[in-house]
Amino acid sequence: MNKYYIVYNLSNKIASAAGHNLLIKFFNELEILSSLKESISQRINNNSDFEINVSELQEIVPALSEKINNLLSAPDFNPFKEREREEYPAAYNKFPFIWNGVTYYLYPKDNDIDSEINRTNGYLKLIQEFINQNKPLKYIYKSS
Amino acid sequence: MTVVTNEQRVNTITKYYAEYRIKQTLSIWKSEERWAFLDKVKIEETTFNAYKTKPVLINSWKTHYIEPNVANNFNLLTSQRQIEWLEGYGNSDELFLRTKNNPDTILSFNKYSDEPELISKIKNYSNNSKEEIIFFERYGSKNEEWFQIFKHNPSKIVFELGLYNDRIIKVFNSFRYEMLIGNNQIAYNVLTENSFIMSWPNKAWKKPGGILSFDFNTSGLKSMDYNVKNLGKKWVDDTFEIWEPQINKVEAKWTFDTEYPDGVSKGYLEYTNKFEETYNKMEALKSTSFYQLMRAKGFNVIEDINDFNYDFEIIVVLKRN
Repeated sequence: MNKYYIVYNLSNKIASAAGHNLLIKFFNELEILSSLKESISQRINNNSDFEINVSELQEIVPALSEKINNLLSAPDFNPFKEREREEYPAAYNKFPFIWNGVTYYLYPKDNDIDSEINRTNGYLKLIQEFINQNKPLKYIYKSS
Repeated sequence: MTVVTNEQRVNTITKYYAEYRIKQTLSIWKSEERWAFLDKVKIEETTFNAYKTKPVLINSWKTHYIEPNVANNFNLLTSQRQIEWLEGYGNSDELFLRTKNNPDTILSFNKYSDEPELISKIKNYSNNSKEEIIFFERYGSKNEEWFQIFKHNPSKIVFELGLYNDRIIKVFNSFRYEMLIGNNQIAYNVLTENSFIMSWPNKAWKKPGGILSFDFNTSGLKSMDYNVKNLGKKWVDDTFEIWEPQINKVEAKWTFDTEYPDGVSKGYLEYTNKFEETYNKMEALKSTSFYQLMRAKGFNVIEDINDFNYDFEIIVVLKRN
């Protein structure tokens, strides 16, 4: 059986449909308090809808920022892709990523680190929207 | 008996025949071939010393001289440049065959050799002489645009060497494309008369564990009026032809990207349309043309679907049954 959770953004469009194992792994790898980590893991393992409340989301924000910082300093990460952007501007200029005042250029298609940065930043932006609206992030359980 | 009356010819044959091994080689050639060689080399000392040190080059010279496809361009080289060519590429049957199929390679070599900084960078950055030949094939003598780019910025040559160990040309519809084959990457470029089109990275690559991934986007070519229908599929087939035994898994990374031919990545659209109708990931994946194409190649087991970042990127991995 395939277990996963749907998250809708504030425009009611699907923002994430991560599988159970992927979600567990994602939160386990975040540098958040172990009590919060365990609590979220339990919610995921309950196989039913759950929420992450605003104060919890606020705790997650710095962990996501730290994760992005670490990924940006990974030795295999090519931050500016000068040559690639010169050769294939249509492809490599597509995903500028501004972080702490620096513009990086991501190309998730052929690079797992870029993909991970983009994924983490996508989630960061999503939860910031919910924090700004003072709304919890809802996870809707699905199985197929 | 032939009586040689031309003083220059007398001097040249005397000089070369004084070397026993050279004499042995030349004396069994047809007269026309022998004199063609001697008239080319004359008595110039550097040339003589090169052939004296490596008499094997003389046989390579003849191979080039008697091959109709190659002879004209080879004869355009100075005798010193001929030696440089023969020393670099003349003793390999494989490289000779490539040259025979694309004799402009010799003219490109000559053109780049006229620029000492460029030729020394080509030699320094390449891993072997085949890479150099591939460079001369790609950047042919009539490819002035790239020649000027390299001339103004010779260090750019570093990016053109050391990546690919073979190049294959194929025809699709009414155009040709090249496959540049490296250990872990195959790049595909549509060819123009004298150059190639760089509209998208268009490549397949192999990740550790034998995971094959693709980045093909033919929308730029389509906008240039190339008939690209099924070109991506053809490139997938080409990739399997080269790497099939080494492939354990195939990965697709679909992004929401308006650059794609129909305004969005085909796989992304197929997957999300089905998923939002059924909320069934397996069914959604099985509805994609990627799955159907890979199933036909024996990759029909779904190992992973990562849609954590559903509104931007969906990653799927299939493995063999």
